[in-house]
Amino acid sequence: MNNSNTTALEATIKKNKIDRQLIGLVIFVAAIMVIMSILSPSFLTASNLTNVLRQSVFIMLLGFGMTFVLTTGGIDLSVGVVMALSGGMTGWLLSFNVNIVPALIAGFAMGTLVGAGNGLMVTKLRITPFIATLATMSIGRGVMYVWTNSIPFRNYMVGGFRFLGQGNVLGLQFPIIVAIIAFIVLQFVFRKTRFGRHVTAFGSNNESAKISGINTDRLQIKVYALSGFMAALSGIILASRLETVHPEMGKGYELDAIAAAIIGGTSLTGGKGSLIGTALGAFIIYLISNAINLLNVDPDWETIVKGILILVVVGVEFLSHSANKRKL
Amino acid sequence: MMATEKALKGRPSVHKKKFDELGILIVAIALFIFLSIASPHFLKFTNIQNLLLQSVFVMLVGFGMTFVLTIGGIDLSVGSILGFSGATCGLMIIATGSAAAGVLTGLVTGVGFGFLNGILITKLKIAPFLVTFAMNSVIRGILLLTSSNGSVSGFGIDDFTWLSQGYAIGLPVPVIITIIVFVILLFLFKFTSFGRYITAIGSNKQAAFLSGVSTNRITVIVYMLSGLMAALSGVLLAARMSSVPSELGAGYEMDAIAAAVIGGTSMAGGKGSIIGAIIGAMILGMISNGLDLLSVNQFYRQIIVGIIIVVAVALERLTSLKSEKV
Amino acid sequence: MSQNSNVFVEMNGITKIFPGVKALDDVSLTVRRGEVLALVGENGAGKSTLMKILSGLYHPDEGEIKIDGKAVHITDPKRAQELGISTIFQEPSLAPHLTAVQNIYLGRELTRGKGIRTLDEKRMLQETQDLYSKFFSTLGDVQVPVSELGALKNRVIEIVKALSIQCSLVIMDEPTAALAEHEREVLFDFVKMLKEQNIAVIYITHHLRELFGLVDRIVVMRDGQYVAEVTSEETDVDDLVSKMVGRQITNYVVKETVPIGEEILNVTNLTRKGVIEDIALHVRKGEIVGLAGLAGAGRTETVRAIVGADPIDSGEVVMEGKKLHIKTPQDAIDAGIGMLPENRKLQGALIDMDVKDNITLANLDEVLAGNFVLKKPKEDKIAKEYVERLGVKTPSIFQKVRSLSGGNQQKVILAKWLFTNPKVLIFDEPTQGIDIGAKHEIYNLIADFVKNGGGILLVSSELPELMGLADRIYVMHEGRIVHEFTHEEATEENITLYASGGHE
Repeated sequence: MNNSNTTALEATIKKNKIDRQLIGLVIFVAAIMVIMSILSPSFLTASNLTNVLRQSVFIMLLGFGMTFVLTTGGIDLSVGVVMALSGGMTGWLLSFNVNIVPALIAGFAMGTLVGAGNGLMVTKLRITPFIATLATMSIGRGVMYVWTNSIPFRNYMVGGFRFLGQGNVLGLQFPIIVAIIAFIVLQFVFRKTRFGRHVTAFGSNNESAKISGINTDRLQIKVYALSGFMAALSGIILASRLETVHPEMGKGYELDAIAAAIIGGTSLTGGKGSLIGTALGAFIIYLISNAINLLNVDPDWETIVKGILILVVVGVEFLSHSANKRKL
Repeated sequence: MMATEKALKGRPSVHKKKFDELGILIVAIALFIFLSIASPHFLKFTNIQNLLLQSVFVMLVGFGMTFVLTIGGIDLSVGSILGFSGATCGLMIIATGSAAAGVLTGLVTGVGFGFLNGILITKLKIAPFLVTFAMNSVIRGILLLTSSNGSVSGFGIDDFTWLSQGYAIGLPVPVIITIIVFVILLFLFKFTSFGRYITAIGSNKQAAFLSGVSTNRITVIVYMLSGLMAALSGVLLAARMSSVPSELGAGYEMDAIAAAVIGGTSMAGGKGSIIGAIIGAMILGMISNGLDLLSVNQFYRQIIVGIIIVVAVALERLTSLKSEKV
Repeated sequence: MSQNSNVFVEMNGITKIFPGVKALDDVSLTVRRGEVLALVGENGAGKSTLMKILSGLYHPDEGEIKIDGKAVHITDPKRAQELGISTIFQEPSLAPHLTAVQNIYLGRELTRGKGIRTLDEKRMLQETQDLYSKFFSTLGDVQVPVSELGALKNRVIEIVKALSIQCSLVIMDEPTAALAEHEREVLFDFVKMLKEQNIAVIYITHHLRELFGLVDRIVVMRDGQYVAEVTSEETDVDDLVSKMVGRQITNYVVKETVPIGEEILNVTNLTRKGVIEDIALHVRKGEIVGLAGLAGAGRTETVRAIVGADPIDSGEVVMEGKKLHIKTPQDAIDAGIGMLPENRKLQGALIDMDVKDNITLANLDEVLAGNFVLKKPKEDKIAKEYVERLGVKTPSIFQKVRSLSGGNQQKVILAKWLFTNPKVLIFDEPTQGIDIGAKHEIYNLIADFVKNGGGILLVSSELPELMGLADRIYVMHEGRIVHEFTHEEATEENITLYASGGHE
């Protein structure tokens, strides 16, 4: 970015500002690591840490899509149920011995279409994203119950499908590889393409995007479809991992995905998003639950700590922001 | 938005005071008539009593939610507050043997959490969505820790269960309590300075603040009220079930929001209707009740509720857009 | 100059109907290449609507648009840009999180590569640099989010953005609204530069004096209709105003002499670190005190600090000899200070509430029985009284404020403050975006208030207004009061000199 000497300094200043929260998060992770490695010998092992990473993959994938949605100033509460619908679709088809390729395509199509449906409600019916995706969540969950008749889908584990959730490549579990690839692709899309630029612009100022000739309706529909696609990806891998699709699958994941994005510095009001932050946020959530697990603390503490963490992260951001303002 | 010019061209039509909830009332009546025809059991006295009982718990939470939505906020913690207040109420009864002490403890618990929500929102300036979402998690966690074996029970003394299982003047006690609460809140909303201030805050917080409205204080009070309503619902549910499972109230926030929104309360603030919340909660209740009577799987309830929300909100958006578009 | 071949845009018989209102009625407009055309009229005259049709935001119900003689449909802003029409909108329309470069290329980013096309940041920066160097000597701040830059820089970015589009016509809708006098000069130079490059400009403004020496033709609109076309040589402000309002209005601002009494409000040592420093001012009975300065000089911050809307680090506010402890606007109201904030819609009016609700809001205690319950009949009676007294044009007190005109909204806000029985009223840009007729009514109401022994502190960016009304004028520069003028001493030149820090 620094191709001009006059602005090189400013660019670095700006970069520092964005990175401050990320540095904070890294320090936080490091602190947990140090404390935990003292308290529990089994914590700082490669197998434990990759385990945490693998657990956090599902939230991470949702969180990536959510980061795009939040950056437009929207929200997607339906990702949890989309996981179930997509994982269910693929699993259901596989259980009828459908070939794995069309089964996967159908799963992804399901997620993407539901996402696009959210986008249509938000743009064409002018329903606020919160309500639109809340309704989708409710409808989708109902559909899951009716579809499964409360009996989880099973018996769909063909060999190729098992690989998605349980395979290994180069010693890394396949879900982790998927997350890494997804991160690289989406980071590229977010930072290097017009689409990514328009997402940020729209979240920053709707009117500005509109008068600059951006088709904002289409943009939003694409963003919600992307979120749906990412939820499908996460759901299909989870279906492979769990070997069963329960009608309640993915319930509450939407809130964890939002939490991951917000912990990572994405703003709820739009215009500001960070995929690296979201990845870290998802990792932190599972690092904490891992720590609680290893220390034999009542697992109920998990939800408490997660809630407090969100408040602290956002509260600290506000306090440092207002402290900064005073200094100016 | 763009044009100061827009304002001038406002239609000189006299704004008639109309009954805003009419549309949704018609939906409710249509549903009522449909169910009366579709099921011979619907209009039976016991069923109507049941229907009312099914509806009041969500209704109470919906009242609080209506206030919160009107100031432009949201309260996602009501479900957990409901559960936890029910539990503290039960534990207090176990400890003291006094129903009154239990009820009081439960209500104070709810108000306390509402206060905490309000303080975090106004002092730390964190978005209400986030604060109450995080608090929901925290409170549920505490409840899970408290009820280590999955539920709190053993407080079913007669004094207490009467609150939800007893009858007075031919009506179940919770229904009577709800009616009283409704009258008080309606008065509060329509005929007091408090009601005026909350609408003002939701309509334009900056302008309200500059006009001398104590926006922070009122915001805190509104979240306390929401906590109180959730707690009241929790206490009544505890009395009804004589036990508080650790998941009590989970998902109530969605039903409460749905009841308020179906009733015409705007998610954007500045517009709320207590009467609408009643109708909204009744519609939700009728759907559950109707599915039972028609032997349709309850799974369909979520689908229907989702569709109703979309239709209700889309209609409201599209009609208000039409009248705004100048 | 007037040969047909030179015509760029022709709008013929444009009619636009919004629900219940005919916003434009059979309006025709011709724009020639390289001319500067002014479009004037009161709010609601249809200027902005006409321009939004030309920039693709609205679609006409009737009429046709020809560009270079060919009929076109301007479906959206993108199409307008392709046709060579670029618009600078009235409201700031940049995305605050994006940098200048990102904003300038928003919607038509340069890309490179085949298949998957990536943003060509390097070229966009380079071309922005070229654009800047065409108009400015230096390039600065193009890589910081624009929210961190000031109003003028934002305006400049919008202008550069408009110019970066290969265009033959630039529409400027109130481009000087957020700018101070000397900043306006910079903008006028731009307009002249465009003209030299044979680019046409449509210039919309309420500041009629700006037009002279700047524009070639002036088109006057009223109530959605074309009224007249004049050249700037054959007209003057009074003539234009009478054409705009359809009647004769004399004297732009009238100063009435009111005997000045004892001191009411006295502010000393008011400081908010980094914003305002050591502010001292006083207001006496019957006095109108002006507060002048450029955008960002701290005028709004000063009055907000006085009424407790923002926290202060130090300072003393004394009312009629009594020291006040103002922490919130409520305290200020109790002490008899009212403030009509800048930006009517964002801070002043509750546009989705009734006229009545707005009027009583700041003094609701007055209509309460006990300290809680509203006395509705009394409330209605009071609201009606004020609506009549101030001449608010509204069908009823139950009308939503949204549907009133800017001037009437301002009157409702003024009614709200008068109902608090204030001793001092603070006006922050009271006539911004209000048409001339309504302006005069507001001036009269201000005069009435001081005649009855009130004191006024008036913040305004319109120097004629300030000089016409105020008995004394404080000038602010970079958070400090740098000079105080009497009514007689004040001239546009010396106020501007102090406001821009030029006396040092």
